[in-house]
Amino acid sequence: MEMIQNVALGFGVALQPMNLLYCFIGVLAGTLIGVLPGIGPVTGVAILIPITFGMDPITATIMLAGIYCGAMYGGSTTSILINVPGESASVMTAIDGYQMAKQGRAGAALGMSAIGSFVGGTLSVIGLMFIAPPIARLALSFGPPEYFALMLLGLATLTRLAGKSLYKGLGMGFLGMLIGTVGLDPVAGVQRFTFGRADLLDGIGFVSAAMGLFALGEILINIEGSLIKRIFSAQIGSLLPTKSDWLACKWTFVRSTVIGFLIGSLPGAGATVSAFMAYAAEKKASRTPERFGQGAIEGVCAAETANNAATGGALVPLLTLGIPSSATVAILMGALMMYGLRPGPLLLAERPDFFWGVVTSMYIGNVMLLILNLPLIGVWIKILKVPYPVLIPIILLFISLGAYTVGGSYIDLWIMFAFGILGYLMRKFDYPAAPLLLALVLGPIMEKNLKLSLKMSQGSLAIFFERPITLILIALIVVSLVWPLLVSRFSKGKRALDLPVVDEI
Amino acid sequence: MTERTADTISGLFLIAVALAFGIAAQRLPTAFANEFAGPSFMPTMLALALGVCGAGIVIKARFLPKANRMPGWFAADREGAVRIAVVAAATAAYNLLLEPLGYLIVTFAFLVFLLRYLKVSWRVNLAVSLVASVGTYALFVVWLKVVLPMGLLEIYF
Repeated sequence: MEMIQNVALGFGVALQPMNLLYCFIGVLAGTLIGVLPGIGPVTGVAILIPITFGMDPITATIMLAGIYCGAMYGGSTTSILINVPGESASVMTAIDGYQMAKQGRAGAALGMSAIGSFVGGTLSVIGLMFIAPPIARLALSFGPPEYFALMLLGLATLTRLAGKSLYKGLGMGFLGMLIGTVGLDPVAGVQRFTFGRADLLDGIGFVSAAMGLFALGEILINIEGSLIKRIFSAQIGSLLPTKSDWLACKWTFVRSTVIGFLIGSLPGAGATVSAFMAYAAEKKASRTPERFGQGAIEGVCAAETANNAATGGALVPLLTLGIPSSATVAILMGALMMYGLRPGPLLLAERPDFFWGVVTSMYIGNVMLLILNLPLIGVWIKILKVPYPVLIPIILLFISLGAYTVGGSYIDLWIMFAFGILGYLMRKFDYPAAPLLLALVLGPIMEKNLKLSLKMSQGSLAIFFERPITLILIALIVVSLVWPLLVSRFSKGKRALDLPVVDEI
Repeated sequence: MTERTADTISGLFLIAVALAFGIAAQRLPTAFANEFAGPSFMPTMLALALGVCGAGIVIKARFLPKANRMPGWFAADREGAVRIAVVAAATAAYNLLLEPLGYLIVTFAFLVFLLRYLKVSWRVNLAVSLVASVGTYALFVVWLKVVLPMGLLEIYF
């Protein structure tokens, strides 16, 4: 069967010693990044991109994917132990996880979250293996109008989910696209907003922008407050969940994986929203919902399974359509473009070794993470004891280095600085950062597709309404923007769905 | 800082940015080699959209209850503001001095300064600064063969 051949090809690539090594480095680095509060997967992937220079693109992607998965494992450790989520996808884990820790059951929470992460991660990779090829085949019939509409849908969904103000989310999206127009016009090659500078011809580098927005901005916000972080030095206890824990969670694994995978694959939603939805669904499905928030292990299990399931799901639109579904995946996509690979349906057809190699190595990565995480918890706790003031200058150094080496030019340091100030101001004034980054990456591609579409239609916008797939996508865009307004209008009595602000996924 | 004032300020800022981009975009060619949407099309449309969003934010701010304070703004946090200014200035100084003085010198100085400012003990400070500067040099220049400016130490490298 074709699938077996592909999987065999994949393992053939993934099991090469170099790829195994970098998978290991990736998952280790990813877990560390997840553990450290103040750096999330976006920054972590961006910082480690320079290390991938000169590497084979497959090896590099394996490492970056490992970082992505690892960060989902690591974030739960701090959530459970000190109620400080290592990154936003672990916010839901903290709710019940920390309560369990206070009750002396930190070990069981940590163990269950590792196992849940493994189940979610592995099953979502298998899902990716089965779902990606048919979607890629479908996408081969996509033309510029479909791509334009799809990217627009991604941006629309992301802005909708990114906080309570639609105008702020959309504003950041438009601002991102506007910043993306700096440089050479994609079709005509005319210089735009470059002030005659050669180093701006390539536009504003997204890596520098991401590091500024997410890393420097985060640091500036953090140092504004107190720098003391509480460390929870309690007994961890046994790392194995009890039999009743297993029984309680047996359906949680299934539910959360499905929810995580589906939501993760939606352009615009990522691990954070997946964790939230899975938690909410678990609470609804439970016979004793009042336990949630007081240390219900199903809550921990649901959140962690879902946020790892979202990693596989998030790669579906990227590897099949070339559309990043979240800020972290946008960085991954940028990295792939830097290696000379064009993510999209042709990638699967032209480089099956790449797709299957990366996918099977994610499976291996999940196994590595399960084996690593439980024994290494002691190490992570020690690392947490490193005072934040020592970490700050080191993180700053790494992001400056990253911006300089990836961008290749001096101006990238200033771009990083400017976006850092912008990121700080955005957090202060309550503007979401993820739409800006996604729009910055997608904007130029969208413009190219828009221009090609208009060329195809000889200037008429009707082309977007004549093609069936585009029409459906546009309808979805309108729905995603308008639906929350309708919901709030028609359900004045019920509680509104209070989604967490998705800043980094 | 009330939510109302904050949103009004930020909304107006967005409108200003939109105007700036929009006006600058008018200098770009409208059509190029019988293209239907020239180089100025996208920036103009986006600037318009951004302006609308900015206006929306300002208008919505009018309807916010006056008493709402901005979450996350600490009333009289002079200390925090100073910390931010210092860290931002240090980062800017790093950018400015990197090429003239070279990576090793500037990185070491940057780390020592910040660690001292953040009240880390001298022993830890010097140890971390030394290891980080030399370590990252080894990682990036020696192993990854990235070119980093050497500045004053160029004669030795």
